[in-house]
Amino acid sequence: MSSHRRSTGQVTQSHLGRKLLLLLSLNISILLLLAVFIFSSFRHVQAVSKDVADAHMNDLVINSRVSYKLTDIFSRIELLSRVFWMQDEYLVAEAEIIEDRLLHLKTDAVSHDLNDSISELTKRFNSFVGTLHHINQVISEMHDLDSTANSKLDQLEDVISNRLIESAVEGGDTQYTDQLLALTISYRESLLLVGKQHAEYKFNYLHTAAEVKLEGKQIIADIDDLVLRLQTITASDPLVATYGRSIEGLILGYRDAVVEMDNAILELNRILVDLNKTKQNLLGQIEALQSRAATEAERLTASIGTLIQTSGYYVSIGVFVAIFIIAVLTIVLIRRNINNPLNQLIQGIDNLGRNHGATITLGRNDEWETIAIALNKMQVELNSFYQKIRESEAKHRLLIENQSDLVIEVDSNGGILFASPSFCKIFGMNDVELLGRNLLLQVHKEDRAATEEVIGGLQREPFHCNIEHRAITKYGWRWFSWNYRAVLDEDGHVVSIVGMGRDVTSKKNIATELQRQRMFLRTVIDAVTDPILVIDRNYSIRMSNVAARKEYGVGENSDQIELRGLCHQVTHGSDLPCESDEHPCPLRAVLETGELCHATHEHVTSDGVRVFELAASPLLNEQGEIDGVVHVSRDVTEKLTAEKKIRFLAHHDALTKLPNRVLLQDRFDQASSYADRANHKVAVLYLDLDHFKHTNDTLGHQIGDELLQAVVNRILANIRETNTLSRQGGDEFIILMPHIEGRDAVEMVAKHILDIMNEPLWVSGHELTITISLGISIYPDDGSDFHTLLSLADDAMYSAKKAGKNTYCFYSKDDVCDR
Amino acid sequence: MKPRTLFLHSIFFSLIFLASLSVWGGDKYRVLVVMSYEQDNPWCQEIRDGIESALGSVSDITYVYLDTKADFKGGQKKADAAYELYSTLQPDGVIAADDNAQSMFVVPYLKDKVSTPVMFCGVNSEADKYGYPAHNVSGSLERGHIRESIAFLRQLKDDINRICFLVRKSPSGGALRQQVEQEKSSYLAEVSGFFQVQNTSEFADLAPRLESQCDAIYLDSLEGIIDDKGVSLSHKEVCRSLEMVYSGLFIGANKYHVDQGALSAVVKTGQEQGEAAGALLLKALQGTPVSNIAVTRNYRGKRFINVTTMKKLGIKVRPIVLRSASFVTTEK
Repeated sequence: MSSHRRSTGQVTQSHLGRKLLLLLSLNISILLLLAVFIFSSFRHVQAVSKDVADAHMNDLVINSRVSYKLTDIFSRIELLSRVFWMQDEYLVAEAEIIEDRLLHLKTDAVSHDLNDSISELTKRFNSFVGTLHHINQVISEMHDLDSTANSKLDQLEDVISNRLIESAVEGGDTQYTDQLLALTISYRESLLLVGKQHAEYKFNYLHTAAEVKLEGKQIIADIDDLVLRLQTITASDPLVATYGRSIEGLILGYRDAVVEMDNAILELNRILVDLNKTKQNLLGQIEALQSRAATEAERLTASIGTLIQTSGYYVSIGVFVAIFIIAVLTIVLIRRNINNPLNQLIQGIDNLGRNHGATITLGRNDEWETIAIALNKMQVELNSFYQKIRESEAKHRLLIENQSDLVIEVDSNGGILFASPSFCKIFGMNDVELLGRNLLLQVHKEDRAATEEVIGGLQREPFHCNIEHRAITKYGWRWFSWNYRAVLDEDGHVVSIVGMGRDVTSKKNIATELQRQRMFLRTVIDAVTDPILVIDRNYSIRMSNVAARKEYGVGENSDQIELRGLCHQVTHGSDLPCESDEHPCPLRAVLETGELCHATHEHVTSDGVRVFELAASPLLNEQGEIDGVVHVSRDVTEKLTAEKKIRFLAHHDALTKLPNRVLLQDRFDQASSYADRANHKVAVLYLDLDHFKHTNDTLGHQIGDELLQAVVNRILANIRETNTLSRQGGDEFIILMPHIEGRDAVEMVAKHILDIMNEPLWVSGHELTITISLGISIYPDDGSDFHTLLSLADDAMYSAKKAGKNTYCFYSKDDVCDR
Repeated sequence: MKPRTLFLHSIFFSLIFLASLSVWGGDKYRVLVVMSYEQDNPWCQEIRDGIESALGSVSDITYVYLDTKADFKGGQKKADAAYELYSTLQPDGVIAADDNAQSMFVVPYLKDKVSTPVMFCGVNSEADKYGYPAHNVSGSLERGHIRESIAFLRQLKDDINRICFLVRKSPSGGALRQQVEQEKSSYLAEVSGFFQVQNTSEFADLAPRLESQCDAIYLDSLEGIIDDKGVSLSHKEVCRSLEMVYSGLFIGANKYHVDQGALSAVVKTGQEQGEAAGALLLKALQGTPVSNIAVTRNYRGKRFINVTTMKKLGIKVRPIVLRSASFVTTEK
């Protein structure tokens, strides 16, 4: 077989390939000859054209450039001559630009004559700029003179106007002042007239430029007339006469400037005429150069035309002959080597279609014979392939017909194209009944829309989907889980949809039951008002009830958002688990003991730090191992606070928050014990506010209470922290002084307390002065127990009252005030 | 009653009268005014108007006229009489108008001789000619607005290039000539002649020269020229005489010159000078030492056009010139 193929390939190369190669070589040779001929013709034309370009194009370009630049320069000069009065800075800048361009122009110039003319133009332009500068200066000077003259005239009018008023008021010579005023006004009018005429003059100059007509003489006549009339104002008092002479001087200056400007404009006019002549001369030179170059170019263009015409004639004939030869050769070869064998091949293929066992025979020794052999071989292989497909199809059909899952093929509208035996069985219909029936008719109406949408979605990528829906079977409504996949043709169009289905009714029922039980349990634990957390071994919260979410959750609707994260983060805001003795970790305790555990924790909540009592019980898995804890907490913050308050109130006075007698006795017991060991003494000072009842009755109990509080604050601020101030009730107080060595220290405190009470107290806007009577007993000198000492100190206090109040007394057995 | 007794009685009663005047006059100043010319002279009237406007309300003014235009020689006698009056009147102040009053009255009788303040006006000569200012004399000099008058004339008629002057041969005329000599370079026309005459007969001889060498004539101080009969003429009469031999135009220096036929003038006024002298005297009377009062001069020049003359000469004037001038017609 392979040796046959090799020999066929050699035959092909020696016949058809050689013929085609020959045809190709011939065509290439003819085309090469043509190309050489055309190329040589164009080379000749190119050489001639290059001569033209080299000889004259450069001149034309340069002349054009010079012409363009000249036009630009004269445009700018024209603009300068039209702008009558320009800023000097602008003039200088523009002059520099033009001079620069003239310099460049000179460089570009190709002829000596042109170069000389540009030099002449530069020279005249410099004169032009100089004259413009001069005109600018004169105009500026005129402007200044005019402005100054008007200003002087203003001042003169003021002087005369004032005098006219004074003359009218004082009965003076108003006729004279009237004349002066009229005279001054006439000066003003003349000045304005001169200014107007000069403005017109300038305007005329601006718009006539090269044809300027001098009108300065009329202005000068008007100025002279004004000067003449100014002569008479000197017949006035010195001030007016001085103004008159000053204005006259300015006007004469203006006159000189007008004359100077006349001359400058004449000069400018002359220069412009000269510039124009230079321009005409330059343009003439350029035109002559261009004309010469154009004539030469025309001559050469005619030569090139003739050359191209001749070359074109020969090229046309050559091309025609070549194309004719190529066409004849190509037709002959195509007929012999392509048309005839192709017709034989088509007929052979037709025979193969009718008879799979037939073969194609061409009887040639070229590529066509190779194709015929290849087709024969392909026919043999196709026959073998079809046989294998039929066998495979039989196997697949057997597989589908015997599997329990449902298989179905539908068209894009849901029409059933194929249904597996399992499908027919469960739906209680044979395949004939099912074919053509719409699948959706079997689907529960509540699931139909979703199913229809899913099947419709298979028309686009990803061309497959999963869906669960109910369908009516011969056993009633059942749940099916379907996997649909679109079958695509070669162009990617959906030709049908194949579905693999499974009855999942039992699974669905179990899931529903599980969900119901889950909801039940959830409701139960959410109903518990104490926070419950289910925590796994890794401190992660797996579940929480509503109370827990309210307690530890963050943000709005926190009670509806399941808590996530680590328990110590959520409850303590800590990155580490609890491990101190004050905060033992319930999870760890349960994991260690395997038993219920109790603890008290302070948790960080949205309401701040709260105190919780915790109970953690083991959470067991299916194997009975501890998988975590059920963590129940209860907020006992209010409860603890209330207990603390109760404890405080048991030992303190409600109004002043001072220790009460119970606490005081406790402290006395401690102090007396220490005093016994250290051989110290303990003093009991009994204080009673003088006349407090009067204050209470006159200002009310509220003020009375505030006064007591103020007295307490002042005393507390003036005794040591080791001393205890206690309220006995009403306006009576006790100070317990431990660790004293003698009565001097007590006496000093007593005097100090009396002193500090001399300063008035401010209570609710009232300035109150209150004194204290003070009785003192000493442990162990006067007594050994608290109640005795208290009683003795009370007696001493009454001695102080008797002694005139606002004083202190040590206890004395003689019932006198011992001080 | 014997004449001697009568004279003594007269003197006595005059003194009583003057004393009573003094008492009746209250705190008004007594002022003596000595004019160089006659009472009807328009110039004197202008000066009088000016003095009255300055002193009229605070002074009793006595006027004396030396009449030197018509009778120059008699002027000195009148000046002597004026001094007698001065001695009798014992005025608080004196005003002397024009040059003759200075030379005939102030210089011989009052300058540096009495303590009475004396103010002069209308003096054309230089002040030092009379030794002014003196310790008790000051005042206002008179200067014609010649340059301005010529300029004004050129505004009316721009072809006036030569100007001649015609004055009386008198101290005032001499002073004017001196002024012209000093100023003529500033004039807008060439001064082509300065003629001083004494009588009208000279006009006939002058006429050809005036016609040939003058485009216009400036007239001033011509009063007092005598005619063929030896009669002293007023300015108006002089003008009529001149017009008989000279047909050209002339201008003047005072308003009455224009009133009497001059085409135009930038006039000096007697009112201004009289008012100035009066104001200076009042200043002295109110306590300012005369030596502290500087000599001044007239300044104001009014523009006048005689429209009768203008029309007669066929002169067309631009409105801008007319607007700042006053118009008069020739007196009949």
